[in-house]
Amino acid sequence: MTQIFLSGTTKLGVEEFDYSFETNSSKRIAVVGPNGSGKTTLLRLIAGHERLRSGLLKINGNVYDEPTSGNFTPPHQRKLTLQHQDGSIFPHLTVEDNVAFPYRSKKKSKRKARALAHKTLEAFDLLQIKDKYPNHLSGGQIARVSLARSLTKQPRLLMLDEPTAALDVASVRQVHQTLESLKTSLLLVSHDPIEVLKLSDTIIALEGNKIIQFGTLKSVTSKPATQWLSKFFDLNLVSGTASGLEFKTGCGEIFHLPQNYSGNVEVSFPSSAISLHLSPPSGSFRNKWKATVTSLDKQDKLVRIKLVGAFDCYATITVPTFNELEIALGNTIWASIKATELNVLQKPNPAKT
Amino acid sequence: MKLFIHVSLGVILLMSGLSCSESDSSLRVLAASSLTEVFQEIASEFEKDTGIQVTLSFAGSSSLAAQIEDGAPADVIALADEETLTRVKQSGRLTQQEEIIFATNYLAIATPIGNPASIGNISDFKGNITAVCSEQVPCGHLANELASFLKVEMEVTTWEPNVRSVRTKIELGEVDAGLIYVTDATNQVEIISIKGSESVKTKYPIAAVDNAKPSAKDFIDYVLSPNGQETLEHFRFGAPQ
Amino acid sequence: METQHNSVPKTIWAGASIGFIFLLVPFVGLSQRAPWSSFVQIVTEETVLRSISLSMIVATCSAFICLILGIPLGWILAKADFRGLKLVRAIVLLPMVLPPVAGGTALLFALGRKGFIGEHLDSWFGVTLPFTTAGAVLAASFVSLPFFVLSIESSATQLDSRLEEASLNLGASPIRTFFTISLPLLRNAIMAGIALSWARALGEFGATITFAGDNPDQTRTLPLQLFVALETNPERAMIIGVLMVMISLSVLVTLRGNWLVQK
Repeated sequence: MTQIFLSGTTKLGVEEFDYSFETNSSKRIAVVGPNGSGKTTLLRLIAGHERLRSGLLKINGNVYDEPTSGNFTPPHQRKLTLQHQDGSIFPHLTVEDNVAFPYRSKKKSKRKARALAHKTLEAFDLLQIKDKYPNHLSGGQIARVSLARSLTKQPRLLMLDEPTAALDVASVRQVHQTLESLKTSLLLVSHDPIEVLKLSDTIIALEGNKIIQFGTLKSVTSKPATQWLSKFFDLNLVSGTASGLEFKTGCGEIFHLPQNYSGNVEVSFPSSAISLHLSPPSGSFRNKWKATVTSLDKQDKLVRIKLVGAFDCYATITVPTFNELEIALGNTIWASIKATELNVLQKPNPAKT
Repeated sequence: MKLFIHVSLGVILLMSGLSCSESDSSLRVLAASSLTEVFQEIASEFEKDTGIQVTLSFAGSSSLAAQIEDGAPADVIALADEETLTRVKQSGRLTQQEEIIFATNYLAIATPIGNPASIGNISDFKGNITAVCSEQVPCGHLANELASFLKVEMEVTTWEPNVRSVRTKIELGEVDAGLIYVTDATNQVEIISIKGSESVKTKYPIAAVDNAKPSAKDFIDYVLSPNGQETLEHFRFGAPQ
Repeated sequence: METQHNSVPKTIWAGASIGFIFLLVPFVGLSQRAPWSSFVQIVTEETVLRSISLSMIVATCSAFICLILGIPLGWILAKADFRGLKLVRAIVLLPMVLPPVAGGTALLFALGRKGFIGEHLDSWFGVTLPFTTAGAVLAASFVSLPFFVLSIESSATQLDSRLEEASLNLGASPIRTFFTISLPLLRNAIMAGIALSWARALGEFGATITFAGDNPDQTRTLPLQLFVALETNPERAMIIGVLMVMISLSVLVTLRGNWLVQK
């Protein structure tokens, strides 16, 4: 468990940044926010590529940056890794030497470093391509090399800046699978709500170079502090098994899918795609279920409703609809969704290891 | 800084052989670099007397010869020895007029002020840093002639492209001694005369290039006139024979 | 070539052709006039051979000096940010635009026997640089260093700084990062810089004759030999000129072309 304490400000050009948060028990933190809200700067600050103007940065009790005392630990002495979106693989080194790089940095001989890297290469299924140069690799392979290399350093904290932004679906799945199985603490910048829902337990939400919400995944998704956040988390994620056009949730509810699938899948859909009814809906709605209203969050023109039934999900409806249906806490109502609104993610087969 | 500009400009001009094209009406005179000051003086007197503009170019005689061979525009050419002029004649641009010797010159040893290496004669060059004109220019040719006349071995560190760069290196103290024309002496070098060197003279020929402007003859006449000769003498050049 | 023809406007092609011809024509003239029959005889003359070997020594030593001094200098110009950086850059590039003779004169004032540094070299260590091969190397380095620095600087500015950050992140110290990441990534620029500065040093004349003089055994490199020949024996001058063109061309084509194409 990595403890991060950051309370300070910095300035880059004309932009000022102000961060303040403390993590104790969180293992997987996601940093979310609109473009240009200061996410990458936060990571660079923690990595030591930017310096605080005032305040304090402490990780696991070690002061990394404190302008008043002049304490500053340079990037290469920090027990963490920052991995850039494109992986920043060294183009002049082979896959093997890229992965062995952190060992070489510890002044290990080339042979020793390569020997030590062998295990990691094996674990990341990179042995076959270990002698290749990066310009001969696919995007997914580069992502794996990058992750493998970050981990050879054995960091206490692994920071990832949009690790899957440029990857194809299959590679995204692979990266997610690896990250899920990691024991290292994660700090992850992501633009993908599903990724955040799957990988994180804590959210740092940034807007305007400031932290506007900080808390557990649950607390932030159930009560997003800003419109941007509620829109960002406007997604429900349900896992289950698929066979053909049918999808079965963990509790046995059956959904109809837009296409044929099989095996473990995850189904996501925006909360605004859910329709609510007082009585069982008829007609074209084939995906319908009964649920209880457990929370209500009125915002301006929209109401966010938490539904607990065969699975938990959120529904967002307009205020007039809300008034018309006369929904109240504890009510039991019917929910429905069109099959075409469902977005199906094929889950990887259970890991071999 | 002034010295820097002086020296660097000087060297640039000497080595590249300045060729400016001021106006077509002016008389173009190419002259050996040892004639720099005296011809400037003569040219300005000539201009005052006749109103004819003179454009002067100075360089090592062999550079001038090469320029003439390559077809550089020129009306009058004044060189530091006859051999080089013979070369120019072969180029076919000096066929109409005979050259006339207008001055003579001979060599002396020059050292930096104070003569730090205690140079007394050419045989003292041995073991010291010395500069002499390169063999292809008249002063280098003359230096070799002088050495064989005196029957001494002359040890040379650097063969400079012209007499002025020899003097510059002596003035700067970069060399211990060198051979320059007696006319090139300045108060920034010390001159040690060589016994017998007056008898190893170089003769300065002047000639009009073929198809020169009519004023070329006027200029040559002026150089040979009592006025011109007086100026040459003032700059320590010897009389024509 | 054909595809390029389609994408590049005709006017640009025309301009480029004129430019290329302008550069090419003098060499055509030289090779046309050169008395090829006496090529071997002149090139194998002892004095010419001596000049060739001197030129090789001077160019190689000065390319090496450029390598040692040019990499840090180019790196600082590309990466550092301090007051007076612009002035430093201008001074570094000065030898490129200055007449080499002026450079040689300036060198005399600094490193000559009576120069403000050379004076001490002479009195403390008995070292005099002018009129020696070392002096010729120095003069050649002075004029060719900017070529090397420019090559490094332009490449270093374009270098992906995230790669260096990644290296730091992975635990490599800044100096280790420089040697294991930055330098290898600059390989092409370094090779190009070596080729350029080597070729420039090979052709160096003005600063050499001013600072190092003309000594047949110590400093008479090919350009000085060419200069002497020009005024005494133009045929010889042409042959030496052709020889220099051949050497420079082969160096620029093999060394520079190779490293720029390869990845």
